[in-house]
Amino acid sequence: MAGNDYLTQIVTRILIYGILVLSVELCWGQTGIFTFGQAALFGLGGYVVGLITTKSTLTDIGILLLIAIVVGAVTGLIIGIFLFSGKRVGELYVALVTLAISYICERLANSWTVLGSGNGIPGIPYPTIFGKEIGSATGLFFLAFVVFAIALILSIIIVNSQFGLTMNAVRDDEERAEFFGYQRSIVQIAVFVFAAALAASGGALFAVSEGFVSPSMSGLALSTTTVLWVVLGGRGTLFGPLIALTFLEAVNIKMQEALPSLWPILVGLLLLITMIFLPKGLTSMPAKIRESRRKTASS
Amino acid sequence: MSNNYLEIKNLEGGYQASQVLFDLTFEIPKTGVTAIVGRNGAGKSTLLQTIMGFNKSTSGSVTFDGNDLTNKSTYARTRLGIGYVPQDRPVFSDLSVRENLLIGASRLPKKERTNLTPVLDIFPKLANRLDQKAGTMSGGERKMVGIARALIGKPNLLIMDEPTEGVWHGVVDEIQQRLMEYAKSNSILIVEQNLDFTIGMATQILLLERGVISQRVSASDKGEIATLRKRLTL
Repeated sequence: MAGNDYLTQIVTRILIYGILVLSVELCWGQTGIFTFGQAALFGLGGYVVGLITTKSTLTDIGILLLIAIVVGAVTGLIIGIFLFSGKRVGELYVALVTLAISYICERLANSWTVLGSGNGIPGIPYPTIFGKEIGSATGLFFLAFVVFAIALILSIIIVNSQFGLTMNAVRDDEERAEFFGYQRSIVQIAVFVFAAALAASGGALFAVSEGFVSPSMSGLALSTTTVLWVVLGGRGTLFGPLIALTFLEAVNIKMQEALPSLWPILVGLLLLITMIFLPKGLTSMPAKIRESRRKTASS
Repeated sequence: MSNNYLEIKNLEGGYQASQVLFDLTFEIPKTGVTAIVGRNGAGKSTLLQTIMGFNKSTSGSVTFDGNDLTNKSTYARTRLGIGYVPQDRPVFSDLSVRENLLIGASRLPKKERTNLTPVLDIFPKLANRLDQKAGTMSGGERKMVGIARALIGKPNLLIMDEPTEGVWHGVVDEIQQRLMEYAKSNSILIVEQNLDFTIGMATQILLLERGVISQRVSASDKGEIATLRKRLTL
């Protein structure tokens, strides 16, 4: 593979994970839904596309994305109703239930022969658009870029709308949000459904760009990593987690080669230091520096 | 057509097995301030939370402007035109003052939702602090934001739980003046420990003792007010 193609593939993967990160940020960062289950929905989108493309001749990316989005949204709706339609539940409860869902999905993908068991589904064909195959790394990059851009623009619009304010109100104080005429459960379910659709579309893109799906893409490791990106970048900011993802994924490749056993420990340390000294993430660092300079100047 | 916004009949409620409110019946007229006073533990906050639907009543009824609220959820009650200022955590700390105020505008038509002028006229001090995070303000300022946020939704009935608790007296006077102005054309139900504040603005005062209304006082009746003061300071 040419060096440029390799780089393009890395950027494409970052864009796809970016869609997944946006889904976690909308849930947790903006609405306070502490989800560890977005990888399960990401995997769902990937497996749906993997099954369809390997069992039929359908490869049109528009239709594949639509199917993945619908399946993701319906699954998100079912989980959302289960989690949020009754009495208020705490963040920890949501985290544990979604963690369990991720675990079940990974185990299911590992053991169910229809899903290829531990081998996953290989040989997923390149997608097509208007009958034309998107078979190059550059083509797949543009595809991922367009879907990511749409996801980002939609997220920005939502976060800056009256509904976005409501999401923040629910995040800060679910009980108080109801005092202002907002039905907490509807807000949480709506956000969870939208985020599930985003995650599933990311999974669908992952399947067609990598050419395979495997149990690990729906499991605990990816779910946890996504939450870490949000923590590192800064919960409550759309761009912070995206910056953290880009930085870690970019550095990851070189560091895994240079320091294969030390790198995971360094990432853990970075996370620990960030949580202690910059609880609002790395993107809060400039504001923190400005504040400390102001304090120094005034004293 | 009734002259009352809120009509409470034989209301009982509390927390799970523990009954706090006993057979309460009273009305809140369409204008003026009704104050509920009483010692700690008398059931004042429980009563407000039951009216707002946050605590379920066990019997009796709550009617607002002809609508039976008994089985309605909290958000549905708010949408009918009831504003609520809770005693604790009056603001969303991570949001700016502007965002806090905009949240209160949910029941207004879309075009009116971003117009902050009416509440900034009432609380002009907030105009210079719109971009400040509400969580970084003083206790009194937070209360002011909490009240302003409830007012921006133009509620017909404003319910407030201890709006002056922990607030500097200079701000208390300001809050009192603004609320009295508002009560000329709307209704306010207030729970307050600060008796001077309450008497200064209320048109009727209800004394709540152990979950029962034990005295109803008209603010113009000096003799009754004096008795009420004695009962509360004993």
